[in-house]
Amino acid sequence: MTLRRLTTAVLVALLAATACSSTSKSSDSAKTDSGLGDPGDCMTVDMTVSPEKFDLMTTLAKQFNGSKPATVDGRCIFVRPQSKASGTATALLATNWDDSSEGPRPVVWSPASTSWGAILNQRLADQGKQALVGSAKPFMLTPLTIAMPQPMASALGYPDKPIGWSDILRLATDKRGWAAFGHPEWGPFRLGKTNPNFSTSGLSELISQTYAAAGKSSGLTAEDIDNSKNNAFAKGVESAVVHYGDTTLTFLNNWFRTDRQGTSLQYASAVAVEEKSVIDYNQGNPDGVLSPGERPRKPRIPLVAVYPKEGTLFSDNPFIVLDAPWVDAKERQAAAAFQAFVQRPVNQRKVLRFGFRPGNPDVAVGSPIVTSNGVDPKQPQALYEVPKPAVLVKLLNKWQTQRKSARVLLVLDVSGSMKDPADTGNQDGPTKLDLAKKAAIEALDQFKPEDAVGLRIFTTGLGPDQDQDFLDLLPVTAIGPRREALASRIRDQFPLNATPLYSVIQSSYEKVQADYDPTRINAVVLLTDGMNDDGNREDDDQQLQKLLAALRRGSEGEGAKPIRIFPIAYGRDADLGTLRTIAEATNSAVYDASDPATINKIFTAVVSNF
Amino acid sequence: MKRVLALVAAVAMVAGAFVVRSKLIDSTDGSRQRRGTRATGTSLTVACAPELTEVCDAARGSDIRVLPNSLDVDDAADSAPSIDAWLTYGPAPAIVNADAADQQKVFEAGTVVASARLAVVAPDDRVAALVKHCRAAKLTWSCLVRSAGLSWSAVAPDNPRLQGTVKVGVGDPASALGAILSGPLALATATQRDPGIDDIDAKSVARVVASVDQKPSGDELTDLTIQGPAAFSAVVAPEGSARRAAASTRGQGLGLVVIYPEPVATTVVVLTAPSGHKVPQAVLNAFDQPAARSALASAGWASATRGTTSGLPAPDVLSALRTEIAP
Repeated sequence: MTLRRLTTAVLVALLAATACSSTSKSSDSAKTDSGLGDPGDCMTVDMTVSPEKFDLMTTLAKQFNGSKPATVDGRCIFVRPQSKASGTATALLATNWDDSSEGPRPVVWSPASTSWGAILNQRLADQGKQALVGSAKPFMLTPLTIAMPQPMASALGYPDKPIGWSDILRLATDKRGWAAFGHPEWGPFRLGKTNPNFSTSGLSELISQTYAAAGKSSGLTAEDIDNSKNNAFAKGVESAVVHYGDTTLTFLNNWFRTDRQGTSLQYASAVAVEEKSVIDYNQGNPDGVLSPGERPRKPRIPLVAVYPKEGTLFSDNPFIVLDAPWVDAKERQAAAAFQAFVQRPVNQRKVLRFGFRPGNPDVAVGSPIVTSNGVDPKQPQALYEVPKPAVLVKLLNKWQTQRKSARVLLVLDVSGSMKDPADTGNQDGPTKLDLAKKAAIEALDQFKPEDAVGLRIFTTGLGPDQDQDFLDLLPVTAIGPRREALASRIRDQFPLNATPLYSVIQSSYEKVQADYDPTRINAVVLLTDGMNDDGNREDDDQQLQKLLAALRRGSEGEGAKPIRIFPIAYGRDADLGTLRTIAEATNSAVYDASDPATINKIFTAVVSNF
Repeated sequence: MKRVLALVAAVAMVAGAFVVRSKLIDSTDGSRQRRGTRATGTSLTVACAPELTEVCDAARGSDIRVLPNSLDVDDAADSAPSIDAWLTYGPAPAIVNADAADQQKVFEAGTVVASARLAVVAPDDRVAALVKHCRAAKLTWSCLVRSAGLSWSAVAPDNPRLQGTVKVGVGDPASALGAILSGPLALATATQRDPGIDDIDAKSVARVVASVDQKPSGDELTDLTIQGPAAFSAVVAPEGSARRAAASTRGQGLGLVVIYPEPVATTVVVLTAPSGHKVPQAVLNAFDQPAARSALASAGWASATRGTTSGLPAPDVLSALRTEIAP
């Protein structure tokens, strides 16, 4: 794949990406329904903010709008935040921001990290366009950490003995795994990290591990990225990855669930997450959002935030007033007024409640950023610099070749209900299968040539004797030379009969497990629009329990061969609850595409796990 | 008769005064219009150094128009014909003049409006470690030059909590302020009393600059206070800002201290006008108002009508240094 094609693929992926995993309560997709009301005749200042601060920024906007400071030259200001994942906003600002589908173009953009601003400027420069991002002050901060279950961090001697990325590499490549530290029962070292094209944590981790490989703390260069020794370092770290994904919440939720079952140490040994996530987790609220009626329950095994000895990066949530043609001088003044408001100590103290460090030097770092929550307010002691924009883009492109390869069986539901219109209000429009096929084909571009991808379809009455529940159309082999063939086979499908869901999941799981490759991420991606329907409802429960037992057996224990099942619940009739249980049994995540129109984004999010 | 003559003479003098005034105004307006400065009939155009834009905003008024974009040394010569005054740092006009073709005078020396000593602000444990490493009685400019970029494990092998490298923030050396802040460090490497560029170890100064990448926020002190010594081990800054950073809640938590290494360096903020012109009195008055004085103080400068730059290389040397150390 050429660099240009890779860049384009990354950009397309970013554009399509939103956090859609149903493990997340806070959607990354555009969210503007914030109860702010009507701006009336006020000057509207549209903001795009990353999801983790949407609620906080909306609260602040509500307080600001209508207040005395909310005026410019006598005219009232109305601040209107909307939520968008940083990677998604980056891609939209780098291409064409369609106001009708994405909401209004922002005057102020606050991604999770300054790195996204640098990437945006580089994407624009590559197109011969002017930079949109200038200098910006941080609104709030949280450092990237390596979260580890407390017993594991202790086994490594932390905190007395500093731990860094070089130690992670050693652990990742030591065939003895935790046996080298006297704990063979913990199995191999398993690392969780998110996809850097989608997630700020993933991007910061990638920058950090590359700096560590190069032995630098600033001035990362394109030559450093191409250096073969550094490349080997990166591949060594990636070799321990459980899976990737678009959000760290998948890891945190799975860790928390397995903690209840007493198997969290075997799920993951370390996950690159922000400090605030460690606080949330240890307070019994792994996703950082308390739903009505939810009671936080502290985990049995808490996490420890390891601040890498070589360095890390802050997610600094810059408050960026865009240098864009659609932003006029008055809007800049209005944005400055709101920035001054959010920087007030009384408002900055609110960020602490969310586990962030305030951006105002006059507000002390205090609870909950305390050692009893597994974090250390005196850390980090070493920081990496955000690389130059061109280096960042090269880093992302290079990662496509460094990341752990995948073995994935795509399992596509071609049952009769897939012929239903995707939009029930448009009977002549595309069917659910039409949209699913298009999304699956487009997602194929995200796989690297070395990834092994196979295709299975399922419904009842398949095969020459019409007695099979599935057909393997293409084996699980390297996608490189077969990308178009795979697309073509997907394109050929049409809706048929019933939905033998459980038996197909069981056999798909067994098929991937039979050829398990420990050097790859082994997974099943299953898209279905229905519930189990194999003609015999009486044994459904029994079938499901048998399936779950088999999945759990394979995912747990020292010698586990983890096969991740990523189900996509497609359309309103899909059995989301059961699919979630199935996903959780393999420590992965279910993806909710109950609105068929979102299937493109969902497929992109699912494939971000590889 | 005498009364009549006196009256005639008085009328003539008044009329003459009007004529002279009118000519003067025509002349002034004519010259400004030739420079294309007048956005409105009466306003004067002021440009500001990047770090001083808030001061200019505070001085803005019906008769003072502030250019929307800040102005630093690289663009100053091109902008000179279209402005009435430029708020910048003492050596900046001379740096522009030194950079100009044939070293033509582009700006006048200017009128001092504020001054400050240059200080180093750093966490006390880092200062102690540096002093011990340099075997000095107190922190010196020279010690900062020698230590910048080194690993803390080499500087303070007995303190494993100090991780990463020694990062010294001096701002962007391409800017006037960055050049000034790196000035005392450059002087510390000099082999002569009044050094020329060849008497300065520019490579060592460049190593200080390279000990940290330029921050997108451009505000090293804020980064130090909110990100801690991981972001900067020490920052060189005007004393007012240095003191404010150290006094902030987070600064106190970090144990930030303000130090004035010997020889003490000072610099000034000036209002300067294009060559051959004086800074209009209305501009001087605007920057003497409480709002502008307060903004100057917020930016780290004490209001002053006198003062000079000291403890720095000469402006032409700073100009040459700027070229040599820019990353």
